Amino acid sequence: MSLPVFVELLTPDGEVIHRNKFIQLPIRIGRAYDNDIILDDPHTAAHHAQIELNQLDELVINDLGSRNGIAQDNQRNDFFVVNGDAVYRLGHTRLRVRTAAYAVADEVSDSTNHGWEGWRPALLGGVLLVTIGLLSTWLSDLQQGTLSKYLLELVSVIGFAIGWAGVWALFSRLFNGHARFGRHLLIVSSGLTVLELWEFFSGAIAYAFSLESLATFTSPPVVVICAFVLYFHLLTTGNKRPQRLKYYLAGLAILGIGITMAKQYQASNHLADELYLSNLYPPALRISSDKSLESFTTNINALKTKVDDERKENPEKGADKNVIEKIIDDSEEEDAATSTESSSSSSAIPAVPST
Amino acid sequence: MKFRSLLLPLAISFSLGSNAQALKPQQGKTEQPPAPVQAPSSTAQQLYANAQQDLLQLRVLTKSGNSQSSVGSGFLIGTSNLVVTNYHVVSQIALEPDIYFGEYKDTKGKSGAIELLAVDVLHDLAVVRVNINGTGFFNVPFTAGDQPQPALAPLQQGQHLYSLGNPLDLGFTISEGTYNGESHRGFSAQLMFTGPVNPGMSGGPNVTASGHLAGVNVAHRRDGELVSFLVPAMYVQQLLAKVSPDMKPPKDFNPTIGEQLLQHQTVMVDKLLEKPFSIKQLGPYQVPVRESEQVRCWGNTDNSEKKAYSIDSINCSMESAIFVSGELQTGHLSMHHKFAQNKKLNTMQFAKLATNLYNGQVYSTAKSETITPAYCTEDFIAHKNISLRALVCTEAYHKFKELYDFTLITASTDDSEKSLQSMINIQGVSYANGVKLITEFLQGIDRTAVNDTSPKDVPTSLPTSSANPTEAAQ
Repeated sequence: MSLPVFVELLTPDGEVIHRNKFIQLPIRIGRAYDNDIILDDPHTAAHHAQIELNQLDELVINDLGSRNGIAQDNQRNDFFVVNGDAVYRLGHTRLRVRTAAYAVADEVSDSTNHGWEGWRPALLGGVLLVTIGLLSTWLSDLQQGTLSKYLLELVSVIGFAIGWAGVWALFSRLFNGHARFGRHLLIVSSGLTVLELWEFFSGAIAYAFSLESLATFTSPPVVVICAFVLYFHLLTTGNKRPQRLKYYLAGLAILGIGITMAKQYQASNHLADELYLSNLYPPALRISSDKSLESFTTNINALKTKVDDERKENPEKGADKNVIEKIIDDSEEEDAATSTESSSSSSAIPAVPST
Repeated sequence: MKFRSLLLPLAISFSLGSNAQALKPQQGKTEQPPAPVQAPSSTAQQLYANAQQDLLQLRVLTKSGNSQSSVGSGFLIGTSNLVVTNYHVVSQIALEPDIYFGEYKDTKGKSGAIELLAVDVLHDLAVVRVNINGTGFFNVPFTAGDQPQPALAPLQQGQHLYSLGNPLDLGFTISEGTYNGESHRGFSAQLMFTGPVNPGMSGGPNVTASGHLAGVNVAHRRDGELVSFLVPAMYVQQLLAKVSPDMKPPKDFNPTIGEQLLQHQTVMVDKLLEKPFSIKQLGPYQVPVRESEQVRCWGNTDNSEKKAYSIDSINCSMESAIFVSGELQTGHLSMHHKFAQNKKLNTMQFAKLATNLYNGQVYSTAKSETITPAYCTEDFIAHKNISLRALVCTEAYHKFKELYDFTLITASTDDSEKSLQSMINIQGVSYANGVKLITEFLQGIDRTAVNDTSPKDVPTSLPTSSANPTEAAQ
């Protein structure tokens, strides 16, 4: 048994709130002020537990007859032989007990590039933004616009990226104490760049090989790219469980794709975002071969069964329904007669031309 | 379609009650007919005095709210209880008898129920039955069945004609005008009447000075002055030949309407394809168009110095369509060609321009009550000297069997500095006819042998056409 003993108060996530060092046993724990560790938890007793050595010279934590007791992994017991990796729950309070002999885990190798913070990633992000912004503006600039148009486009893109990165930097500062604005700016810039590049190259590939699905399903890749951007932002913000985060974001992405597809299907009866491949590229990018007019006509004829299946069937009207209609007809005739009178008196009808 | 149907949508003006009064002085100002006001001709006086007994206003009301949905006119035939009107006045009763019903009101304010007996969607006519009989003023001689109809007195250009009806629900009127021949813009002739015909007069009679029926008020051109149209009386004869005063009306008019539309599309497509498409030149490309009495073409060139590219276009469109309901007009065809030529753009930028012209031209909707969602097929196709990206979409009509809409769009893929984009839109044809039109159209698109820089041949631009309001009836 090696002294000193450390008693650590933990958050539900397992982070240490407070660490107490003791060189003497026993250690008394409870709400009363004569304890060694005073708890502010109303679910604990005045004298709740005591850490001491038993006859076998093992360190144990004993329940002093409290109402809520001590539990480890939701198993309540009168006493536990202390294990440095176990968390003991007293009421709502979580405790961990370790001795000086506790063997800590190996040092984690540092993959963080500490030089890669601050202005360097921010500058790279800025360069990416300006490049991609200018390129996409130029590509769609069919009216040979002026410099001011380009500047306006740039300002709006950069403004958005800075605002976005700023919000993430604020989160980082809150959770991690470190804003890392430059990194966030690089992440959002890279995301926007990948989006632009994807839009251009997926369209080009779809055109080159006549891959209609690649051209018509536009939103799923965007959702996936957004999920990646979010992942890197959250990681930079200081998320300690990247594996779990991946599952969450994958789930979120699938949900997002599902929702957009469902919405699209309801509106147009097609899952794809676009009805047809509409991005045209120069002839030099064509790779797939041309079909004959005859095979195209065959494809047109094949559409007939598909649209025919979409026709709503004409509901056959039963005899019962006609009877009901008849009744409605009669009753409404009376109503109509009265309303006609009232409207004829109110609306000015010119007199018959006088002779 | 550039016609405006004379059906008066009353939902707005009447639900607000007092609006009918407020509307009156305004309308009087804008619709002042020049001639008949100063010197009322005694003929008009006499005609009105004799005809008013047989003149009716027809109204379509909703069963649930008992409120007016549309108002038109009609007239009693001979001494029978049959009333002739426009199909578009009573279309809601024909298509949705569960929601709408109709009633009439005569010049004395008496009203009663109407019962729809027969419709002629193609000529926009309908016959309804009422519980009163005519005095015999509007006599239309006809022989029942499929026999040839008795000849009607021929009309002379410039002859006086008189339209009767209840314009804008203000009251019964008679208006004087002249007969000006037949218009063949549709697939069946209409009479041109130069005289005021206003919304609400739809279905009203148009008679000669001697009281013979010349036609039925149906439409007027919104972009013209006093350019009105009548359904010729011969179609009234043909429809009357199919009804009898004591017949049992069909429960569901949809099959009848579907049959008439199917019949119309056969005539339409046969007429369109009676000779091959004429070929126009757009830059190095050859494009098919159809110019005829029914299909009018307009050209346009956008080639300003400031622009980095030029666009020439040819648009051909049928001026008539068949009115089925407020949501559905069919039996229509249009063709469009756009030829873009690069002047200062980069190749990639020019491809972007072609993309902008090509995309967003076809939609699919799952929410329409009238048409199914669209199904499409697309591919790169090569034909003669040209290679194209082509897309064909088709949709069916829920209520009318054997009828489909088709859209074909193509973009040339053989030149990085020139782009030819064509489109043909066909509404309300059989599947076979749609495919036939599309393949004929596709076959007409071609490119003249390379190194040919023949000057562009674009029809002279008539700026008025593009400004015309293309509006739906009602």
